[in-house]
Amino acid sequence: MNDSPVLERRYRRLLVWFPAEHRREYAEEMMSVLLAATPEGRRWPRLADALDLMMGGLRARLGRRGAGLSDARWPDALAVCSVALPVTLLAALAVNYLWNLLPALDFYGVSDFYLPALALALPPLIALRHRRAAALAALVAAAWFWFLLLGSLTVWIDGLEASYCVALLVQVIALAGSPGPRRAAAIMTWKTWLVLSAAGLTMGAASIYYPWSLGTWEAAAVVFAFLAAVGAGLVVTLPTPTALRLLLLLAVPAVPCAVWVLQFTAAMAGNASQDPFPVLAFLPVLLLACASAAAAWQARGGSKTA
Amino acid sequence: MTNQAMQEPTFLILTALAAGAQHGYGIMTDVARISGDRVRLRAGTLYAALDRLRGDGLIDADREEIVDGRLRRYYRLTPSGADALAAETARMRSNAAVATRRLRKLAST
Repeated sequence: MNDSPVLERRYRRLLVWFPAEHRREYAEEMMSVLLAATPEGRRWPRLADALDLMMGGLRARLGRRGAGLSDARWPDALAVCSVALPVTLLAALAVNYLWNLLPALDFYGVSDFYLPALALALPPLIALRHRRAAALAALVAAAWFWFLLLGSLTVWIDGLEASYCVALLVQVIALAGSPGPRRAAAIMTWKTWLVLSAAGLTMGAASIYYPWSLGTWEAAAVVFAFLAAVGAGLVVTLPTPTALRLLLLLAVPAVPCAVWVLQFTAAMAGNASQDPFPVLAFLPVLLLACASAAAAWQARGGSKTA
Repeated sequence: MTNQAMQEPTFLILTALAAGAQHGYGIMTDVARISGDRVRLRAGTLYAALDRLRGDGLIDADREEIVDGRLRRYYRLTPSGADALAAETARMRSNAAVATRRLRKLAST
């Protein structure tokens, strides 16, 4: 039996990988077992134990009873989504705006951020008092953005624009199908706000400092690492069923954006011409949107009969 | 209950509890003993499995005690758990019997 308080503290940090419900039920027992199985004098968790706790925690989060994607937890996920999209984009916008204030610096495409960011940000603010009016405002903002976009199109919509388009659509659905941002504020912790803000700030910084000279595979690794970090952050800081649904909703605008970054990287590296945005990239968006809509609709029916 | 084969750690945990109620560390050491040290469960895997088995009604909490200021919860096999273990044992025995017969035939040719 190892009684080191340092070791115990380090094991407790690893237990964060498990969902809160699991920790409430088993954390003290698990501490007993972990300390009993660790030789005296050791101050760091064994690597095998650390990996096992991480994997066990992920399995518990993904396979937990009631954590399926078809029960009536969609309203909460939609409520958080209605806040997550504008918070992330506004944080990105703030970085760009501050960067633009610096003299003699210009960044092509910075203004791309402003319009969708404002279109996304205003309705949730209205929704604090008038949710239906906010959903309508989001729809008008989306229609306005689509109108401007379609009017300026010369060749083909690019992935970033596609991402904004679907983000605005998701925002309309999120506001119309959820109890609104007040509910989101009750579910989200300060850590969730931190994860979303950090994601937005990273996106904003990446739009200025992104090393376009990266190879395609390196860029894919960077994009994947960013998405994985944000996903893990949300899963850890929100109730698991809500987090999983939220990730599905956020994936709808994230997929075309990620594809665009990779495509643009390849074009900048000279590996490919900047072809029109591949139509196939819309397929996961369509599938995700259909799956989200079907699950949300099913949940709506389920909650009515429950 | 599905007809799927039980995973080995699940089988070993249920086998450990077939001897009587045990706490987490006891199950861990018993599983290692039963499997001849081949299967060594760690805390993360063990408690993910215990949570799932409790959810499936195959095991249940028996009692709790505090030892050296630390919580110990004992788990026991439920009647459903005993049935599931018996069914899995019968399935494995039947498979083993077929394999044994065929190996004997192979050896004699």
